Parts: sequence; C-alpha cells; structure tokens
Amino acid sequence: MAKEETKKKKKEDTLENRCPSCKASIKFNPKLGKWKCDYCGSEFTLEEMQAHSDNASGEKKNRKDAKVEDDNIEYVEYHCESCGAEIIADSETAATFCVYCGNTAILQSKLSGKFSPDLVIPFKNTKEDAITAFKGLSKGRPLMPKDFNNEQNIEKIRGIYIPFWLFDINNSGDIEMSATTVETWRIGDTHYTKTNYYRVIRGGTMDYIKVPIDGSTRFDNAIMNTIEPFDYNELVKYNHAYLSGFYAEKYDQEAKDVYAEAADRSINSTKEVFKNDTRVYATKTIVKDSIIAKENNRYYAMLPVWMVNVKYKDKMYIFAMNGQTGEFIGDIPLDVGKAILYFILIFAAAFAGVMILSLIVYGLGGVVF
Amino acid sequence: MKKIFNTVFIVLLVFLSTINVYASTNTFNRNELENYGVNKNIENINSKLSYILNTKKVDASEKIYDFSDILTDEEEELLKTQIDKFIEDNNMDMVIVTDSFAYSYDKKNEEYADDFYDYNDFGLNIQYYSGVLLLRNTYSLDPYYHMSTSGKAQLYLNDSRINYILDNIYDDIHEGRYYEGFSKWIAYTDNYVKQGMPSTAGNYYLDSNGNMHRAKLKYHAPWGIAFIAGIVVALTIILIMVAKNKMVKKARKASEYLDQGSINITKREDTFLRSHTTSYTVSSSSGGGHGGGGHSFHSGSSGFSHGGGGRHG
Repeated sequence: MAKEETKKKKKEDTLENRCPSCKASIKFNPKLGKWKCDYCGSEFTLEEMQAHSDNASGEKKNRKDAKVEDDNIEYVEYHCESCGAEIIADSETAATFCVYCGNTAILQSKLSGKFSPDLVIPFKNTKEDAITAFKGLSKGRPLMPKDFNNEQNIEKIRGIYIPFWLFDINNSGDIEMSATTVETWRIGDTHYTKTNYYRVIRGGTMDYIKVPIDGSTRFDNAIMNTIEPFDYNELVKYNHAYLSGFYAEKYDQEAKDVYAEAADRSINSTKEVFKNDTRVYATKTIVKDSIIAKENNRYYAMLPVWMVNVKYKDKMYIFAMNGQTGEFIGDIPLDVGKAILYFILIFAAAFAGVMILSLIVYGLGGVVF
Repeated sequence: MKKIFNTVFIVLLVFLSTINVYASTNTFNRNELENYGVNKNIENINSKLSYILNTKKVDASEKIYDFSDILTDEEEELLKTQIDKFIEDNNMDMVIVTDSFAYSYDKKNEEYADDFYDYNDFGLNIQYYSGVLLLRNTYSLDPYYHMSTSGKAQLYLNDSRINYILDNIYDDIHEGRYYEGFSKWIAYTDNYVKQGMPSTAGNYYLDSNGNMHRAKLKYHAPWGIAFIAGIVVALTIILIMVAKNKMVKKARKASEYLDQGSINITKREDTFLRSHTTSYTVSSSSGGGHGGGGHSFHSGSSGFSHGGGGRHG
C-alpha cells in the first residue's frame, strides 16, 4: 500500500459456512428457512448445521472482549476461506461476497465483541420477490413515469442484514389537557352556545417492546421507518450462519446515540394513549406533559432488507423491501406531463359535471345558484 | 180615446223621464249568428256557452253599468269623464259595474267580474285586452266589491297595490258613498298605472293572448362555482396520486410496539373549570324577497287570466 494513502489495510479473519456433508460453501435459503447446499442438494436446519461443524457455532468463539479499533481504518483486507483470495471491504461491512469465487465472507471482527448481534430475523423473501414488487409499482400509481418500473432500471439489488437497535422502553408520567364540551340550544330566534372548560389529567405507565431504530448511518432512517414493522415472532437468536448468501453491515451508531429517537416515538404514542382515554370532549389540547421514558432493555438485531438501487434518467432512486414482510417502499418520481394531463382532464370533467348538474337542477325548476 | 191614451202615455213618458234620475242600462240579446256577442278571440266558444249566456251583453262604450241603480246620472257622467281620461292616458280599458246577486262563495263575484269583462267588448282594440273592472255587488245580505285586472293591468297592479286600493275605498263603498268610492278607485288605479310596473312584474310575463305566466328564473351559468369545483377536485385527486408516489415517511410514533397489556392508567382527573355562554339572534322569516309583491292570477271561464281581489262590505 502506498504510504501517501491515509487508507490502511488490515488482515482479518472471515467466517464461512460449509455444507456438513460435502464441505462445499452453503447458503441460507429464505424460502425454505433452511440451509441448502447447491452442490449436493442437502438441506440443513440450524441445529444440524451446528451439530455437524463448527460453522454456525463459530461465532461462539468470537472474542467477547471488544477489539480495539483503529479509527483510521477505512478499508480492511480479508482472506477468503474458499479460494484464498484477498477481499477488500470497507469498515462497516460485516458480510460480503468474494469477488473471485462469489462465496459469502462473514467478517468475524465485525460481528464479534461489541458488534456481536443478539438477535436476527432471517430473510423470508428473495431477490425475485423484490424484483416482482418493483415491477408491480405501476399498480395504482398513474403518475409514475412510463417504464420507470422496468427491470432494466435496477442497477443493484442486495439483500442486506441491517443493524438495528431494539429498545424495550417503559413510559411513565402524566399529561394535562385543556378540554371543552359544547352545548347548543335555541329559544325562539336566539341561539345559545355554552362552552364548558375542563382541566383533564391522565397519568400512568406502559411498556414498549423492541422499538427499532437502525444503527447504520448508511441507511436513511425514514426509509427504514417506512418498512417497519417487522414480525418479532420470527426474531431468533443470532447465528452467523443466517448471513450466508447476504450482505451485512455493522452498526456505526451506538445505541445511546439513537435511543432518543426511540424514546421520542414511545412518548408520542403514550401521549396519544392518554389523550384517547377520555370521555367525549369537543376539543382536547395537551398543555403540559411529564412523561419519562426509561430504557429497560436493548438488543442488537440484524434485520433483513432488500435494497434496490434504481437508475432512471441518470438519477438514482432507492427502494427497500422488508426482507421478512415484503413491504416494498421508496419514493417514485412524478411524471409532470402526466400530472398536468390528469389535472386538465379531471378539471374539465368536474367543470362539466357542475354545469350539467346546474342545468338539470334548472330544468327541474329548482333554484339555481 | 186612443188619442187620449196616447197623450197620457206621452205625458207619462215625459214625466217619467224628468223625475227618473236613475238612468237605465241597456242589455242586448246574445245569439248564435253574432257569435253570442263575443268579439274577442276566444277559443272553443261552444264549451263556454253557459258562462257566456249568463253574462249580460252590454254596449262596451258606456263603461258604467249601474244595474243596481246606485248612481245618479250626474255621478255617472262625472265618473264617465274620469274613466275616459284614464282610458286615453293609459291605453287601458276601465269598467264599473254594479249588480245584485246572491253568492254562495266569494269567488262567484270574481267570476261575474271576469266574465263580464271577457264576454263583452272591453279592451277589444287594446293590446292583450288590457283593462281594469270594478264590480259592486249590492246583494243586501252580504254586499261585496271586487276589482279585476286583465291583460297588462295584471302586471301594473300586483297584490299589494290591489289590496291598497281595496282598503282605501272600503269606507266609501261600505257606507254607500259610491261616487266618492268609485272616483277614488279610478284615481288610485290611475296613479299606480302611471307609476309604472312594480319591480315584481319582472317575474311575470304575458303571452300573446294576454295571459299571465310566472317567468322562469333566468338561468345563470355557474361559471365561478364550476371553475372552483374543477380546481378543488382536480387538485385533490392529483395530490392523492402524488401521495401514492411518495411512500417514505419518517415515523413519529411507536404504537405498533406498545404492549397493550402493560397500559396502566393510574391517574384520571377531569376538573370542571368554568363555562361561557354566547348567543346570537337570527331574525326569522325576513327572507323571501317579494313579500306581498306577488301577482296572484287565475284563469276565468274564458281562458283569459285575471288578477284582482275583493272585499266584503
């Protein structure tokens, strides 16, 4: 490496999953929820994987003591277990593919110590599902540019385990609202309106389970919010064997740095719960609140997301699909020409509609405007 | 003897003609050859024959038909002068008729007045047979008077004007001061016609036969409303379409992660602070536009429309 470059390289170990029967490289199959060997066709459950090799249990050997990281390291060099080639990955990558042999390279140091994930939701849907979802975007979206959802526009599509912090949060405290009820009545020609003012206080506690905040600055938080929620019933103990066949990232935002966002979300929901726990008031406004969020638990989880990069007319668009639920989201550009055309057509139709209606009403002898 | 008889008769006739201050009113027979005395353009005469034959045929130039003999010749002459002036000034006919007949319902007076106008040659050479007629029914048990309007007079004299006239001649008519009453009737009517049509007349029109119709309200195309509705509807739908393309949203809440079973509300206080009452008054029934300004009209047996009104008294 040239000395001028500030980027340094460092040798690291990789983990690999091998077929317990033929020792070939093996990948996780989202449809089966099992590992399937492409060479000998064998399928294995997690238990079988663990029993027959040190594959899946490899992560147990990861040193729990956090390795001191050199802040200057931006690129790291890995050694492919399969073909022996050197793989270069950036500092956030936890699992990637060997550019020579295509095998998944799980980078041990990125998933051990303090980066050792607690939980994982395995992928349930495939690349093809993501492509199908992308092609289905035109449905119910008349303002999408023609050909936008053409498969040819997909530049890159990757299944990535994205690092999420899941927080168990307890909320306690109360809110004060100023509320009103309104009574109206009439005596003769005089209309009376009586407004009653109340001070309404609601207080108590409630718990939020596993509020997810993504821990990687490389993924837009709003996009990650939009593919929520994940089904936590399928949340399992992390095992690096699940990563085979996918990319993975490590977190670059500490839990304490993103906790505030989770706490804010929980507090907003708590306010809503308190606000709705009232009899019928005409108006309700929160004037004071003293809700405190307390972190009960935190988990570091790898959640499956298909990231789809689309290039359309030299601009990049990012779509994401929940790798578990299949929720496919992203912002689609507007076809301004179509928008204007629709506007004119709808305007003309509504205009003509009102005119025809007025003529009908007039024809029926009704009062006309 | 015969000569004596003749002399006596002549003397008697001369005597009678000098002492009888009340002029008699001539009526004529209606016969088929002369179309029953009807010279107006009335369709299907035969179906109206019973009405026509029940209507006295008079010389339409006399204008005053005092069958009840309540006016003196002098009074008739003075009234005739006023009527002639009215007719000349306003190009509208004017008739006063007195008679005595029993009636079971008030409308009989109206029918008498309308038929008397329609089946005689009143307004004959005037557009729409326009004219006004005042009937005095001197029926002793329940005297009545009725004013009838025809042709253009229907437009000039709306209900409120007719009521005003009827109310202001009531005292004179009721107390038998017929000359004064009729003079006032002529004067008030003349005054209103000279004032021109009331604004309410714009809601009515006369067809080629002089029949009144309520004018259909003019159609005003709601350009403005249609334009605004078009903009609002188009904008709303376009915004919904745009929203379909904009899927990414920042999450503000965590409701999906709330453990419903953990909700424990321990504090519930609803304190009444104060109340405040406001009121406003709506003046009711002031709306409606032409209150009392309408033009009531009806069709007589002839098919012509008439306005008008009447009073007991």
